[in-house]
Amino acid sequence: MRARAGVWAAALVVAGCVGAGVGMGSAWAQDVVTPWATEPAPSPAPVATTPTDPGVPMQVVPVLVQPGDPRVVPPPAPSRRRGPQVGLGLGYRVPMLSPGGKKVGEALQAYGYDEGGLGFLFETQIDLVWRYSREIDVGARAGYAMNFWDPTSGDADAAELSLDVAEVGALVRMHPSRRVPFAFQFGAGVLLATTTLRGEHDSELVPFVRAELRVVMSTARVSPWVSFGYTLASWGDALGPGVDLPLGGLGIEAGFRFGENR
Amino acid sequence: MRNLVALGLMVLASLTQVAGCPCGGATTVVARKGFEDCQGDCGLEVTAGRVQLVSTIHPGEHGLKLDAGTRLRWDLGDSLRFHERLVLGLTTNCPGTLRVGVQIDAESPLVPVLLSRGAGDVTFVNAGGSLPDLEQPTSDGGVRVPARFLIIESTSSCVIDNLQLVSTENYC
Repeated sequence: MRARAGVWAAALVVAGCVGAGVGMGSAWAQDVVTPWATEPAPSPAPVATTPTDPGVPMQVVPVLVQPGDPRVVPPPAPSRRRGPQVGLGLGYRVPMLSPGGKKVGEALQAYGYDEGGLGFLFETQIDLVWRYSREIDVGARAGYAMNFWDPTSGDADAAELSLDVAEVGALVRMHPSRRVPFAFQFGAGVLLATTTLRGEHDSELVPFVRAELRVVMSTARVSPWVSFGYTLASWGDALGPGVDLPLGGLGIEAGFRFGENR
Repeated sequence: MRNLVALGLMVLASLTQVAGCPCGGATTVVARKGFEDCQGDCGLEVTAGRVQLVSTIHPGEHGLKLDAGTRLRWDLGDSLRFHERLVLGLTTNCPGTLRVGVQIDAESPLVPVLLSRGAGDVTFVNAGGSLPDLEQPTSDGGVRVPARFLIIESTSSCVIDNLQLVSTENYC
């Protein structure tokens, strides 16, 4: 019994050294240990037995094993449910940098709106992901973004032009390794864009695709994250023939992830 | 250090005194047709052709569509006042030619307004130009009535919007 306890202590020391050697800091070193605690391991192999003779009681002979011996396996951990991860975030996009942004600026300027107003699209989002495999999460995302343009002129009938964008889509999050704090995320879906002027609405369903890099700050159950991405979406002829309204562009988001680290 | 800051402030104050206050300007919209909340010809007299209110860049933004060969007359009234110059501005989608002129009265000759059109690869662009000086001195010294009627003619189907006259003033 004392020998077995010693073996486990040595194995844990080895695991700890490996985790520290990854160089990701103490928080990410936990990932090295995590699979032992969360994944069902194969049943322990017999450590040592003697050949059995019929009629002779089996006798266990203690064998000394060293750390690193393949026969050293962790004990099965109690199974833990992997619930979904929820992400909440806020951020903004810069549609002006998308193709067509300059033309929209000119169209808005011709109508007395400040060209720079198209610069930012403020957005909020929620996503829900499940683990599909060790490297891949799949899930869904919903978001809402908005902006408005005030006319620069003091004309009596000038009015605010607002843009609301509601979106829903599917996403795939790919982890190069669970030991590193970032993931590549790809999404696609549809967004409903609505412009409003003097109480009149104009709407369009627009498909979008998005690629982003998401960096998660820690392995805690509640962890901050930040993402950098590019969304490709454009509303054709939104502001007159030939004037497409870009709804994507470069974006940055930050928020919190809730759920068990994996 | 304190002396250095004080010296710098004194130099800045002296420079401001020498240079004087910067020149500035002011603009005032003295007449406007936005084609929102109006019906029919929106107070413009159609002397030839046909006009129709249409949506422009948005269902909530309207302009006036002029058929080819349409001639409009905008009565500016006799109480129009301006400072130094009156500038006409409008937003237009007009593949053809849009001719604009002014008249002192209905019988006077039409004096053309040279329009310059804004650059850009968009449907609607800004256009505008200064109204010519039409000498008709009044009793209140220096204030003139430049025109009574503004005439717009289109050679092709055009849409106009945000038609306005702006009085400009520069001062130093």
